[in-house]
Amino acid sequence: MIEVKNIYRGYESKKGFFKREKVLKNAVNGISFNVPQGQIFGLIGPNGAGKTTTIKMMTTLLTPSKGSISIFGLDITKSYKEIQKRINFIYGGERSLYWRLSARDNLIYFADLYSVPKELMKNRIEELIVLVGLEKVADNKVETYSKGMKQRLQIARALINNPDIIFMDEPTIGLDPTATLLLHDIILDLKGQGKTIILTTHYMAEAESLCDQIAFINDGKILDIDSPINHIKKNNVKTLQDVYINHFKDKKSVS
Amino acid sequence: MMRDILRIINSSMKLQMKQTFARSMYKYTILVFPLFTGLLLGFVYMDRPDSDFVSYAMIGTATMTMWSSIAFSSASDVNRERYMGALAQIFNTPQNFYYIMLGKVIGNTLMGSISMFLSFLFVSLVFGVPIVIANPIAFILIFLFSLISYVMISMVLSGFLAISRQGRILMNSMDYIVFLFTGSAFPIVIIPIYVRGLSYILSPTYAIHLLRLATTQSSITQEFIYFLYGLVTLTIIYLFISIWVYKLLDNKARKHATLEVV
Repeated sequence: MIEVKNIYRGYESKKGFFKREKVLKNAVNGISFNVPQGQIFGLIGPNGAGKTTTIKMMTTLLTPSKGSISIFGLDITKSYKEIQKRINFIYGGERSLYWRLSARDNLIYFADLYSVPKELMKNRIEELIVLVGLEKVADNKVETYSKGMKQRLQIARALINNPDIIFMDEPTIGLDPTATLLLHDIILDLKGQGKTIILTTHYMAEAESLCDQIAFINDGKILDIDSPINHIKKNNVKTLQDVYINHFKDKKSVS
Repeated sequence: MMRDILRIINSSMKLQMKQTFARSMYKYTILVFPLFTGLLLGFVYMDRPDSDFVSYAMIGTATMTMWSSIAFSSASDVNRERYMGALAQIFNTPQNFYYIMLGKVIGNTLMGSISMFLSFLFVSLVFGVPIVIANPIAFILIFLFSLISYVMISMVLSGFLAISRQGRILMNSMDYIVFLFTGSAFPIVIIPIYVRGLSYILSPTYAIHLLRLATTQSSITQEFIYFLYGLVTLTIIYLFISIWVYKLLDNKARKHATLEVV
């Protein structure tokens, strides 16, 4: 379903005030992996490891500098409009929403952008509002919401086109335990429906309980890919948290 | 296909208008700013004949108001949405980004029309100068066509701004470019000849002149046709440039991540 082949991605920035110098930083350095349909695939690594850049390339927002990504057998650089119809994404945090509008207005707008048939739109929006528990505040402005409520609205927005693949970049960041459990239930339910989910998270317990496969990533390179249980066995430790510590004990977070 | 395009334009337009109404700064742009501009130009032209007053104080204020509302707002919306993270989100949907932005610009245009009408009325009432238009049909038609022209300039500006974060400098100077070079506040013959060329590549120059002609002359003159030709030609050129800019954007945004804050 998703085939990532030896991808690279560099960012150019400028340094200096009078004498501007171009600086090229490689965020992703030759990553390859496959994700079959119906799996929850985790990308784990410290801040700045290249997880978000990898997700942005898979969601067609960025093109790889080198290498290729194929989704549903389609190349992301050529057939991105076709791919975009069947995927959706949460880039994490509270942004990417129209804060001065209500949750319902946000969902109506994105339903239009994803060409959700008019006859299905009303029911789907209602279902999603109930699913993420925002029914009492659906007509209030998003700017009055708590961080967790905005995050839940992001989830509803990402499901508006009933996507086959959902990319979730740190979806539980800032959520309280109840909301986190609700999201875990939603993710497992989506998996039950045969959807594929790509997830990044800093919570190892979450990754351990949800993911079928986990790729540990650092400095834009994959260190190891396996199931959570195999990661634990290979490292001869008790939890995925211990695996993480083994991989990154010498790594200081860059952000 | 056409129904889908209209759905996107309509939806983006409605979203834009709802957002705009909810923003307190926009109330300043749409209500307070036009009144100040109207007062300023009204005082400058209050001792001149009614025809000059209507031409510069009323049409000038209305045009500046309209311009600020459409072009400046459309360009600054790109920046705002970039910081909100919504720009990348809407860009990455299956829709053509051009139509999404067109809807937003049309939304700003409708808001600008309200602002323009209010400023026109305000200047007329405060200075007691009646609104007399010699050729009302030509005036309305030119007004409607100038809206299309402003929409096209805004599409060009918003496209450039989405491609380059440095476009903010252009956005912030656009207000003054129009005030200084299009004859909205004073005749362009005052402008030094070596910069006057800029006036003739801006469609507001033609729109303002045509509105003035329609206000003062009841018949269609050779001069009217000449300026109409200029307005139509420039609008078509803006249309092609905007399509080209958005095609460029489609490629550059994915390559250089320009839709996000870095």
